[in-house]
Amino acid sequence: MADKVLIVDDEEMIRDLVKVSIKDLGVDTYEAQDGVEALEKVKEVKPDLVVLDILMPNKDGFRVCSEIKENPETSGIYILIITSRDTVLTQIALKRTGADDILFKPFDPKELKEKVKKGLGLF
Amino acid sequence: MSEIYDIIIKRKNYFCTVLALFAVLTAAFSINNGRALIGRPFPGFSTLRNNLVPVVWMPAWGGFEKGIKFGDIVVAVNGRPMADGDALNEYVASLEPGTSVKYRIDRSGVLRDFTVPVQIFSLKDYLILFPVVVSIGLFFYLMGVVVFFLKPRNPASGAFLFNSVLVGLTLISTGDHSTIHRNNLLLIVMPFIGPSFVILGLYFPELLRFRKTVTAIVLGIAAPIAFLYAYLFNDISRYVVIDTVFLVFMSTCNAVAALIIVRSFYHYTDPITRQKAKMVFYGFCLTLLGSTPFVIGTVILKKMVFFWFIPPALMMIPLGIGYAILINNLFDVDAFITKTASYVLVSAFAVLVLFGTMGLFSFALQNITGQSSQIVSVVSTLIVVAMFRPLRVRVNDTINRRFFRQGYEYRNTIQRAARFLNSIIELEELLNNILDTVVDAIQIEFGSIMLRKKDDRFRVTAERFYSAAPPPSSPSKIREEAGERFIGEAHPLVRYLEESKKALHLTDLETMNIPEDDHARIEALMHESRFVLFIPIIYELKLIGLLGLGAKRSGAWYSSDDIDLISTLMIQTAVSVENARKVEELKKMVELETSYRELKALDELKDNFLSMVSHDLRTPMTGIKGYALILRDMVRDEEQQKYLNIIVQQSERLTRLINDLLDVQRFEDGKMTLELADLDLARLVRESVDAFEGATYEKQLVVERSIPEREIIVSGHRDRLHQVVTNLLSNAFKFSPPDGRIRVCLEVIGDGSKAKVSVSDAGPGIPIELQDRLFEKFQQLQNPLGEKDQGSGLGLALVRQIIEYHNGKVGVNSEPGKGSEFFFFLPVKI
Repeated sequence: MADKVLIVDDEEMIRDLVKVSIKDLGVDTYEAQDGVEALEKVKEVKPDLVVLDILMPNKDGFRVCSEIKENPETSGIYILIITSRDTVLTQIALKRTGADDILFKPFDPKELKEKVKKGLGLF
Repeated sequence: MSEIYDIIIKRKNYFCTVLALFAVLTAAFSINNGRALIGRPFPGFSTLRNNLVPVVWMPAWGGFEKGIKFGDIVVAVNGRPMADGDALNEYVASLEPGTSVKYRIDRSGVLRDFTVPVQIFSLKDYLILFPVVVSIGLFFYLMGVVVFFLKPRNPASGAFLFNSVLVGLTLISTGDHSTIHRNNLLLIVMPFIGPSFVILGLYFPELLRFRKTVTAIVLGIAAPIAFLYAYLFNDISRYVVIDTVFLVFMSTCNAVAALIIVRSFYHYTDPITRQKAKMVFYGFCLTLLGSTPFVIGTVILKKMVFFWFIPPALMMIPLGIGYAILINNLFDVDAFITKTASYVLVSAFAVLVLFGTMGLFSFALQNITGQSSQIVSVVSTLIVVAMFRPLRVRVNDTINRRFFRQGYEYRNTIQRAARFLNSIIELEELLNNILDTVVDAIQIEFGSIMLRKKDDRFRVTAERFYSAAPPPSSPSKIREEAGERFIGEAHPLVRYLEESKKALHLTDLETMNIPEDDHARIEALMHESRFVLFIPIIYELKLIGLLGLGAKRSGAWYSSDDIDLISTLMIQTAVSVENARKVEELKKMVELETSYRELKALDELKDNFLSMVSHDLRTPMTGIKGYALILRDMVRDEEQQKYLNIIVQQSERLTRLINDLLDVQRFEDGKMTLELADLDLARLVRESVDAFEGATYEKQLVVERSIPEREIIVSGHRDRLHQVVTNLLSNAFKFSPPDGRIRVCLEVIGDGSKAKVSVSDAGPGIPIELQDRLFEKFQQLQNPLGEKDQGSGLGLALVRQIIEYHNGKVGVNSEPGKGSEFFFFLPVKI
């Protein structure tokens, strides 16, 4: 079965870009526009990896990340955070919330692809 | 003359000891000699050795009752002429007490006969005439010596000494001279008494200009008179003449002395002088009051009256003068007079009551008990004495209320002040009210309150003048600056008040134990500003303000009552001032707290704003760069790839700009936090240079390095330091000519605590004027090499911010034509 990737970002353009970037990986992609929707989709779809933006309405990425990781059912999901916030605080907060990796915007799509590969454990 | 004086001052110990000894010996001599008189029969009046009857009298002496008068010359006793006073006394001593003796008297040329029974010279007579009078004389004398000893430098001390020695010696010699005739000092001393008063007037309270001349004149006149007075003593007919001359001279001198004092009193408006003059003035008045009956009695009526009031009254003057010379801080004479008068009135009243009651009780009880009036009077005395104190208090109070309203008012003043002191919070209003109270209650010319401000200067905060309009020239000329008047914290006056925490009166100046300079400065301040009294306003042992007061309107001194009243008010004031201050501060704090909170909210908003902005900028950037890259990988056409590369590069450039802007802003706002870790600076620099060389493949620059092989550990943020080095390198690169050399140096300097990294280029150099602003935001240098600068002008600003975050320093060495060296220091971890 193909891996499932959930893409969470409030910008459609960014979601499309991410989709295009990981197109070659042959994964199934799902999308969510905000934090609340993201959690619903996680419950519904049970993805293997979530590409997660931070600055979103209705629950920011940090909280989503925390909640996913704290829930034993979903704590195994690999979370890759993409965000434009680059302060150290973000790094520390990330460690606390348990995210697995981070990528800063604007990013190189190739880099994103590599990180998703890694997160999914693909060769 | 002044040399002699200087010698005396140098040897004042000897001088004073000698003087004192002389007086004591003379006194002892007199007292001892007088003992021979006790129990001896004597004429019932006194005679000098030249048979003249002097102005010496005791109430028990019968001679004056029988008609003998002062100035009479005894010609014959019981028909026998007496050679001199000694012979007369010897003769009478051989007679039985009670024997009538006939004396032939020459009274102004007319001969008369008087019969006076022989009397015994009683112990009481001796005691008063000798020990008592001699002691009074000794007291006068020694007072002068003591004052001189304590204040030899004051010219008035010398004049005072001269005067008191003479008066003292006169009194010491009087008893002896008029009875046993052994001590004749009187004759030489007395003629100089008049001049001594004049001299005293010339030196006290003020040194008069013509004092030396007048002194010489009066002494010059007195000398021959003194000589003749002694020389002609035994020639009675001529003695009488010289005696008259002497009396006239003495009266003239006294009158002149009095005039000088009175003149001083009216002439000098300076409070100190007036007050000193007032002291003497009142003394003189009292003496006049006391001595007028005496003068009338003895001289005019030729009867001795009220002898006993003279010495005490006379003692007022020298006491006051001596005190004034010594202390220079006169108590308020007016207050003293009023208090004394009050006491006198009360005592007189009590005595009247006493006698009245005694009489009544006597009368009543005698009828009832028939006991003798003595027991009754004793009993009534006891009753009155028991009532005396409460009586006295009542009477005192009435007198105060009626005649001395001021003292009574004081208590009211404090109560009034206390009321508003506790109610008003507005600082200025408070101070104005306090000043009003003080200035009105004590009737002062003007007053100022100076509060300590944040700059530690005591600024005039409130001022009051008694009359509505201030006098034409501003009285309080405290140092002015920018229209505001103040006293600086370092002024000796402030320091003194801070230490002593007591009121400082103009007259305290002389007794203050402070260095000469400070003394002069305080004196100058008080004279210029016309402030006579400074009261410190103390709160919790700290000086928070000063109250400066001018002279009292009446010209009188500030009595201790006045100062107590004001000081009490100032204690209250201090508390109120602090309260008012605290209230104001509280208000400000509340405002501040509000605006702080607002600011914080704003600040947070700003940070969120920055985050928002960065997010909103980066999102489209992500799209642009991302899709450009994807597209680049999709197209085969080289030209298309080239164009897409450009898009990518420019978006990266824009991204860098956004990052730099945000970084700079975060650093500036203090919101930047970097996690610092231990890293090897040498390795970091090496890696940065490697990376840079790798990136500049176009120009094929080779970077010269001088980097030590060993580890140099610093506490830093790897990426940021990399950013710094890269930035410096790229600047050097930008400004280097094609074959220019770039050199990177890393060395540990000083005592091994600092590492210096420097990047040097062989570029055009930077003029000194431009070097200051290099590390500021948005500064870009014109590049003479014509390369378009792709930077944002933020690079060096960020370099500085990063290095300073690392507790380091940045700098540049450059001269036009000699290239540039950019460097930074970082603390090395040992």
